[in-house]
Amino acid sequence: MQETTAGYWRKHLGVERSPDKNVFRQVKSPLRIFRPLILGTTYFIIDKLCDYRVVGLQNLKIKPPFILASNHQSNLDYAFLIRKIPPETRSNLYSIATTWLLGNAVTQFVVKAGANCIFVDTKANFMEALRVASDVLRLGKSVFIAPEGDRSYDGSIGEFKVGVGVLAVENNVPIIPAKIDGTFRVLPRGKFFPRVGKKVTVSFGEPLYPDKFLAGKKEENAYYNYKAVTDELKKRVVSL
Amino acid sequence: MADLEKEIKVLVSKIIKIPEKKIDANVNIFYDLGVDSLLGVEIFAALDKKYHIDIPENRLKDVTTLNDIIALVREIKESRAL
Repeated sequence: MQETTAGYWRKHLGVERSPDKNVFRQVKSPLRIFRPLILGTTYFIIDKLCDYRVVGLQNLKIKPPFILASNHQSNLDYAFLIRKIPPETRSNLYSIATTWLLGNAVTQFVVKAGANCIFVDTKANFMEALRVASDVLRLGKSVFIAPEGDRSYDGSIGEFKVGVGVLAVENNVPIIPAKIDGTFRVLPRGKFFPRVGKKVTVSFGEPLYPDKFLAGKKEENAYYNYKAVTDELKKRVVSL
Repeated sequence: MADLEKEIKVLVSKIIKIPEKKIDANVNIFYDLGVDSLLGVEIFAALDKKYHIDIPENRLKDVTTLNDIIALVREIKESRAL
């Protein structure tokens, strides 16, 4: 097998050192006591005010660590994604969130109370975000990523950033593709109150194993291996 | 030193998949040529593989043109030779 440039990536991702257990420190926010309230409210919106359907839940029956990657339509996406997944899967799922979410007191409260969020300034330091996510995976937990990096304006699926491929390949973890369809109608960008009666479907696909996918076709420049996995992931999300 | 410039231009061209003749040494490769920041990290990775120079990824913000990359490699190679 030809030598790739992955050595530099692995060194800078820190995958050859011991993972830093301090990455979980932020998750232990005292606001967690409000989690039942946050989840109860969002589950009420999902169950009573939306026409909600989930398909492919059997694809989540793999052991952590894995990456759960979906398209991004609304601030409510995470709640719709986790609503029906098994509690043990949910408790082992961590999100690497942008510090931009901390700029608004309401959003800060909701994300800190409602999810296992680790905040990183993803725009200023994308490699730090990848290092943190990598540590979470190497500590045996799963990571949720929205590879588009931002919400869609109209429900269409945009470009997937290659970071998800870097994480999957260098930590050799599977990616479960997920497609969210309809949350942009429930809570579009710029809106505060959800709209009722909208149809939302969440679909989970079969895990994408990067080592199997890249077997026999690795390129010398590691970036293009990460990109190939990322492109395949997007293809699978779109086709769900 | 002209050889180093040529080598780096060939390497960058191969990574960003843009022909050498279309890469002006003073053009911003991220904004003007549409290179994404992780492809910038790949340029550092390829320089590490070729010259065994571990460039901190935070130097990426100092590097926007081919001339910046050449100057950075030269600086690191010269500091190592001291």
